[in-house]
Amino acid sequence: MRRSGLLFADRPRAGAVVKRPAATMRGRSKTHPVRIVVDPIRCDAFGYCSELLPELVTLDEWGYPVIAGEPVPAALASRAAEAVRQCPRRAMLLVRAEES
Amino acid sequence: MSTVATVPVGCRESPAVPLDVAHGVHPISAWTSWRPTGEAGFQAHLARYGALTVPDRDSAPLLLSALATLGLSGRGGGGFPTARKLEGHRRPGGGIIVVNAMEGEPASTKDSAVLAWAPHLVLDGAQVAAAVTGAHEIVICVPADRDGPVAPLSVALAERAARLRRETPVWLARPPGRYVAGEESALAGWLDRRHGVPALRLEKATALRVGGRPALVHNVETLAQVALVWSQVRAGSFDAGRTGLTTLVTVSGAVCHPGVLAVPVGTPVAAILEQAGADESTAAALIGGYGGAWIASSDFTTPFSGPALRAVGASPGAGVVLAVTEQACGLATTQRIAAFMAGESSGQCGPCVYGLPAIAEDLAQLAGGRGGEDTLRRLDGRLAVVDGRGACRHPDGVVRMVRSALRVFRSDVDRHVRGRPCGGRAFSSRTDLGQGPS
Repeated sequence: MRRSGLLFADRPRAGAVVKRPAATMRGRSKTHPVRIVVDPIRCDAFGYCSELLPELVTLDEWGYPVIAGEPVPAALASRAAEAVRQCPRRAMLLVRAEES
Repeated sequence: MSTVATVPVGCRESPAVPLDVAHGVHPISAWTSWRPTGEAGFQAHLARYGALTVPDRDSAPLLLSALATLGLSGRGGGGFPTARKLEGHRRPGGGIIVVNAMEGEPASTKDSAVLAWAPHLVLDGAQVAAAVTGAHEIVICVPADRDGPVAPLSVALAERAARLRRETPVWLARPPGRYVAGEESALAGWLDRRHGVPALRLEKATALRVGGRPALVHNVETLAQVALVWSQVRAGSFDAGRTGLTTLVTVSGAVCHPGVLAVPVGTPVAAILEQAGADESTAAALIGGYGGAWIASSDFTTPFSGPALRAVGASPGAGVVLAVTEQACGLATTQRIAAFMAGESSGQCGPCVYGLPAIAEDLAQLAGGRGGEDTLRRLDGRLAVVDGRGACRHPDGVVRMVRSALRVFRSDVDRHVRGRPCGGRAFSSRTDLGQGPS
């Protein structure tokens, strides 16, 4: 099994600089279908993602993101990447969508 | 099992079948017919199973194939196939076997029972798992607030230390006793850095790590079952056609004889309830645990096995069967369980932190006759929104349990929605849970 090396079962210390999959997936999003994953542990309901990508991200009644549909349509790929970059908690990731 | 102060009205003085005699004739099920502690326990264990020799490179595949043939899956609630778990972690280099005796499920006492009845089977199973996976260390996790299993374990470990050389070293850990503390990533997190909360695992196959080494978490009962199967494989007497698999079930709620039963996998739920002294007024049963699913009495013919229970929306989970009578209010019972589960969130994920109390509050309004159709609609919406949105499966279990309640207690729900609450109280008046919500 291929190890991504990114999906470690650890919670980084506050303030630690962590490489998230977004950084590595950015260049590949054109070739591989991706989907958005929220790390619900890191997410603090800032809601930027929903403002930046309302087509795919709505907020529940408590302000936490609900992701619609997968994989990310090609037309929205760059804005999805931007939403991932802008998350203040670095709680969004783009991961390769499973082949179906 | 939870203590029942008096024999309830309508119950026989003693169970028709002694609870410590296994139901059925499978030789593998006979292991609960003795309750050893101390040196006598070890002698009885040795007399029955012989001194343990762990699998080697040649015999490990025989064990794994026997486990796969029997279909043994994790008994802590996850239900992951044990053979695949062991196979996936067969690597040299020294991992850790984590024996999960946390038993955070309030309606389950079978893991404590196994440790009291047969600590050496659990230790045999852990040694076997260590040998198969190349682990160099075994950690047994008993919650800090529950000392019961510590004494039999300590005695058993001392006996083995004196008699058996060259065993994989075992130590005891005491993580905090909370519901989610037994979730495997929370357990590994606590052992690794005293941070006992679930982690986000996008790839479940990724090994958990403790001190940088791969950690494999197995439930207590699962390991005891592994030891039983291995004793037969080792003796050359394993026959998948003849040897059935047993499962331990904790029966509680409206039964005369709450307790732990060892039953062949596939025993109908009705037979389990009958053996524990439930009567025909039993209206429904919660199967698997607080994060499990309710089934109605019309489904009591369902065999207690993964595939059969899945067909009625349930799963064996941690082996829980909690009965309620038609006099008890299913909605009130469900509300109490949901409120307890909301309080047991590890507090990490928003949808769980805010969603579970909101779900419990909707249920409280419905149970109290203060909620109408709009409350029910809001509850349905919240269940859909919360489902699948935590890092672990804690919120998903609550969603599943509440959805099954809305299905099974449909007529109760309808009455409550029309403003006519039943006045029944949570659980039954005959017996009650000694642990959990109150």
